[in-house]
Amino acid sequence: MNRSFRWSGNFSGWRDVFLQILINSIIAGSVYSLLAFGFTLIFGILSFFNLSHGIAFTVAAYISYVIRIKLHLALPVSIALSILFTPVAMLGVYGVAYSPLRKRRAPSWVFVVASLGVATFMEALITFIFGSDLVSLRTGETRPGYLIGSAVITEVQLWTIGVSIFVMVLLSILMKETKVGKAMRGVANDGEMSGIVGINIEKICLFTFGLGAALTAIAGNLVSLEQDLFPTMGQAALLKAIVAASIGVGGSIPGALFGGFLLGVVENFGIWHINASWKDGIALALLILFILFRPKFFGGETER
Amino acid sequence: MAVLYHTLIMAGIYIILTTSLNLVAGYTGLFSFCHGAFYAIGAYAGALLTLKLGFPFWAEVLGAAFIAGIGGLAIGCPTLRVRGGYLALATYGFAVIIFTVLNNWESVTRGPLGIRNIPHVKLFGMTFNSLWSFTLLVAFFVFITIFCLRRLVGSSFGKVLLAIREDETAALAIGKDIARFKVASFSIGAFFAGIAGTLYAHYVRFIDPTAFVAQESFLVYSMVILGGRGSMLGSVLAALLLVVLPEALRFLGLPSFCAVQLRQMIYGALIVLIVIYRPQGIMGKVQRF
Repeated sequence: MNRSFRWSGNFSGWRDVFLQILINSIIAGSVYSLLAFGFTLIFGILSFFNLSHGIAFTVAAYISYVIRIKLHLALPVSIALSILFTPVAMLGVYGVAYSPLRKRRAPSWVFVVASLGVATFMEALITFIFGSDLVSLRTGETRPGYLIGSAVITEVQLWTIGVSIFVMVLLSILMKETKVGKAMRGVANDGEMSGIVGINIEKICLFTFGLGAALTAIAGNLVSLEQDLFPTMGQAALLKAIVAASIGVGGSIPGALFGGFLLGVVENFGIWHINASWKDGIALALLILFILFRPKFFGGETER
Repeated sequence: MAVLYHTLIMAGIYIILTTSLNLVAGYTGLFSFCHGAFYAIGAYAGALLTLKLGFPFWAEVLGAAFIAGIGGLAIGCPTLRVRGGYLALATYGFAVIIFTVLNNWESVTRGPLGIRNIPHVKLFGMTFNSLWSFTLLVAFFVFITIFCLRRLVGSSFGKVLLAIREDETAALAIGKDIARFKVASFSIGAFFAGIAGTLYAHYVRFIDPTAFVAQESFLVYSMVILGGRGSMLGSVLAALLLVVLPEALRFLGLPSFCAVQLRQMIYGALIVLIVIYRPQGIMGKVQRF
């Protein structure tokens, strides 16, 4: 998450700095959009403010780590298996912790508390197994990046942008054209009505939860190609997901893109002149500004 | 003996935190994930008031609690316009912002270096420099807090808070200004968290931002849920349980790294089990779910 901009002294003027920051914003934005859409799907369809969303991010990164570093399998294999296994693991969590609550029709705040418990438990479990030290997925040397003007972009970062765009296109096809996508939009719109017209709501919920975890797993893999892993890495991811999802209009792909990229831009340009450790503060200040000025949208006046 | 006193002192501090959060999260039914931030404000305000301005202890506690209470007002007014998950988020956001400020505002908080050499408490010519005397001091504040909060929730003010939790529209319909009640419960909760913070600062005598990360807020919130929303006795028991538990784990002879992770796992699992099997908490009476 911390693609902080480093001054290397090679820049000739503010234009170059601007270009580099813009590139960093786009990279960050494409990851944030993936995270935000996963979060907003689960929020829209299950009415579940999922504080354990970031866990999928960590789990994905560590599954990749085990397969790539411990089992010595190739990078594409590790990524594919990680994107496959993460939703399986999260659906297991869903079955143990959230299914009983859904059956009891517990109010939504109960889910928030339960997901807090899940996040605490899973994070401690991952720390228990892997230790709290940083581990790295990178093997071999880092290749030098490409130059655009005097700004640098690495191969992995190009992949990050490409994969995010590809996934977003796939998702819009899924949501608009397929039967399951239409059913998902139906449940998000009116759960009771969808049940009456014969949509199996519980199945759609499972599918949505798995899809959300898979999207987060993709983001987790992209980020862990560039950055070291640590057990609490999911917290930052959760934060970005929530902020981006809240800024963008909930439930839609354009909304997630807007929220993700706006957050990326504000964060990266925000630390142009001030210390990079203010980054999280900037993200949350942005969120609080949105909450202040658009209360309707956050359930301030209408019941959600 | 030292371990016993230490456990008692920490339990006392967490009892103050949990009972005061219970007013906000339990009685009024608001998500608040920023109690740790008020705790931090209290600790820093207390330490700075005594070190920089030379306040006597009683003035320092009151001052720090007031500053934390003002923090409660500051976060309460804007964010109480939102509900549910978004309130959770906005308050969590406030906790992270406070952490960022403590970590970066180096001219005042000394950033990650923290504040050292916070003096022992001096009151009525006595110095509270031994563990047992400090335990007594904490116990005194625990009683004050519980006394005040019990009086408060027993009063008509407390009834309105409960009404807001159970049915906001109905409370509004009988003419209660719910926003004011919510903000009031928020700042009163923050006030007592500020007291807990000052006590903590004087107990460890060295504070840095890492002691007040957002996890602290989650921990206190889960203590409230564990104890039962709207039960002061439940909050006390839950705080005791979750503070004593890790100390007990230490006696099992586990390496400290394992013990910490095991404790976190037990916290997490307890929360999930509680919401599934006993949603009203240890002592909660509310069956509505």
